[in-house]
Amino acid sequence: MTRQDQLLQEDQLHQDDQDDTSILNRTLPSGPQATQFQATDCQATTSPPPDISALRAQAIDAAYGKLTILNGVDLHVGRGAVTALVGPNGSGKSTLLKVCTKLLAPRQGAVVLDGEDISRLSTREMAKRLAILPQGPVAPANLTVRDLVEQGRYAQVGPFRMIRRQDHAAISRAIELVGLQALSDRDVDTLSGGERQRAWLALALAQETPILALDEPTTFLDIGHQLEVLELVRELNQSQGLTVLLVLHDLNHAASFADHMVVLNQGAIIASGSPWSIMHPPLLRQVFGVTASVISDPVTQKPLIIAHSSTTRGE
Amino acid sequence: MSITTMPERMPETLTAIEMISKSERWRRWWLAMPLLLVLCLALVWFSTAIGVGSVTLTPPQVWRALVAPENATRHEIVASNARLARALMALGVGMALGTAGALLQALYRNPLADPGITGVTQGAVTAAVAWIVFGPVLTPTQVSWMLPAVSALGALLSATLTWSIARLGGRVEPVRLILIGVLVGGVLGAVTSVALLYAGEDTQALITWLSGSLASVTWQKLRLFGAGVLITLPLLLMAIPRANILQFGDDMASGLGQSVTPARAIVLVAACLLTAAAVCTVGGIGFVGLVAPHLLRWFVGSDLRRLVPGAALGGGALVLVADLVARNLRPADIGEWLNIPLNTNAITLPVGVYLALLGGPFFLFLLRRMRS
Repeated sequence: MTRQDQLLQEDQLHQDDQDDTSILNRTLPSGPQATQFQATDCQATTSPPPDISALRAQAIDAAYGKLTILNGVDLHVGRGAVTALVGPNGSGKSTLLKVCTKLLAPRQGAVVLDGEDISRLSTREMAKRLAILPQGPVAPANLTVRDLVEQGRYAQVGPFRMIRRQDHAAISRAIELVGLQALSDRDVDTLSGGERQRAWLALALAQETPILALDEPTTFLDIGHQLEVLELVRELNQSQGLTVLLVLHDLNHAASFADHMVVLNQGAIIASGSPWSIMHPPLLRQVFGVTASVISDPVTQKPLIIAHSSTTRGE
Repeated sequence: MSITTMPERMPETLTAIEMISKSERWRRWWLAMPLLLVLCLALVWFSTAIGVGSVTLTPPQVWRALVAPENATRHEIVASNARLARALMALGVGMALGTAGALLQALYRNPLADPGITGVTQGAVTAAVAWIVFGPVLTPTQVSWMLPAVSALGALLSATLTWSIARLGGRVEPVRLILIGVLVGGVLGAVTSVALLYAGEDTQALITWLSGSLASVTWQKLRLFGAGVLITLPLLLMAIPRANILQFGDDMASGLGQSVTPARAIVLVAACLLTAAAVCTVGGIGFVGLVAPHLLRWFVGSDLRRLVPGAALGGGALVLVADLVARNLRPADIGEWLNIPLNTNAITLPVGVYLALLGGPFFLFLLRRMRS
């Protein structure tokens, strides 16, 4: 209980910090001039989350067997915001997502969801509060979209696993939200990549949780379908007030779709903040080993990376 | 802190939702149609199995023999009774194995998993044979209830062993599981062979039993089998939704609210108990657990709430047909037809032989399909 109290107290503190945050955000460079950042700046770029935390991870150590993946990681996921975890391969971003969603128990540290330590929540209780879509999910053969989405109600269905009226409603609504009404009786195998990912997203939405966690939702999709899925996620965040935590591989996608970016490298958080506060050449060189320019997207005004060359070669 | 929920539904959409649940009910009925077809198929084969044999009986004759034996001839009574027991047993065993196969395929997320391939059947067979040969001498009553327990234990042990070895390298790959299953099955087969060397006068009976035979079915065996299945039923009802969610992978199942390890245990125990019940009554009948869920998946889909009943009925129908062939086709006839002298002492071949003849090619077909 003491640890929980402590974390709760810190939550309050962050709430008090809100005014400072907004000032900070206002003073942050928001335009091409961000590229003028110095190397020393990137160490200090850790701004508080944009809102009070829906989910917070505190001092997380995680390992697979003897292989340590995460080392003392603190993460705040702002309520109602889209938070993107980015980082090079093997930086521990997927592992952090797994720890935050109770798929992996941390060796040390705690994750607090709505003021409760998730290690005390049952798997079922967890599924009512947070929906997760793992990377590259595979559906069993000969399963219709509706059957797939129905699985999202697993934690909520009534006695004897009866699907009740409100479950049917939730399923229909989830299918509608992703725009798959016309395909709801089709087999999942027969869908295109983008449609399939939308079906999986509907499954997570049918859980009707305030938080949605996605592990690289755009893997195996072409650029059009990638944008289709990310735009849908953004739309759901705005229209449904969903809190979204997602792991993304593509920095430009993260910058244009997330409110808040968290950069991991070698099992530690290097920087976190708004896309403009994160995306600058020294950090990209340090974390990803690339020489890059950051420009403002002429249409969205979001930061856009143009990577020129790798600096890791020959070292 | 309170949980933020998704925005409330607008009241005017309620009627739309009611309409959806109405059409949803129709959809469910529609999806259940193939199940009805399989049920009819099983019933047809069941009636045929009772009617066809050395003496052909019409349905009214069978009915008379069973309901009012005083009006029936002795032939009718004997044939009806024996065939009814045998048909019920075939149906029951097929249902148990079909269900076990559907559960295991979901558990291992592997379309090739079945009680035979994952070491479950071999474990049950080896434990039973070893216990009969090396175990203490017991009265028939003691044997009748201890044998199922022993083979159930053997099935569980061997399935756990197969799974553990397959998991040593981390993820359980489908092909890996099959290789390990073959390996464990091979070792257990060797143990069975050794046990058979010491079997003495029981050898002939054990060999027939090993390939799976319905020839020695009695009402007492049937009652015992029924009791075993009945005990497993609550566990089976728990296993179906769990296996259903495990099909989606560990992370997905966990994210949807099902703890993975207890769910796995329940599904595995249910499948092992069902297989053991079948094995101890009729021996090592193979491939039913592979073929039945596969064929039915094409018609009813992968959702286990439909696939389990489907695979059960399909498995039952399959064993009924195979036994019908086994009962009425003599090896000598086959020899005559193929023009080779097949002068065996056996009047008929055990049903397991025909199922293996059917199942082997089917397995190859599935392997080919999986590769593409």
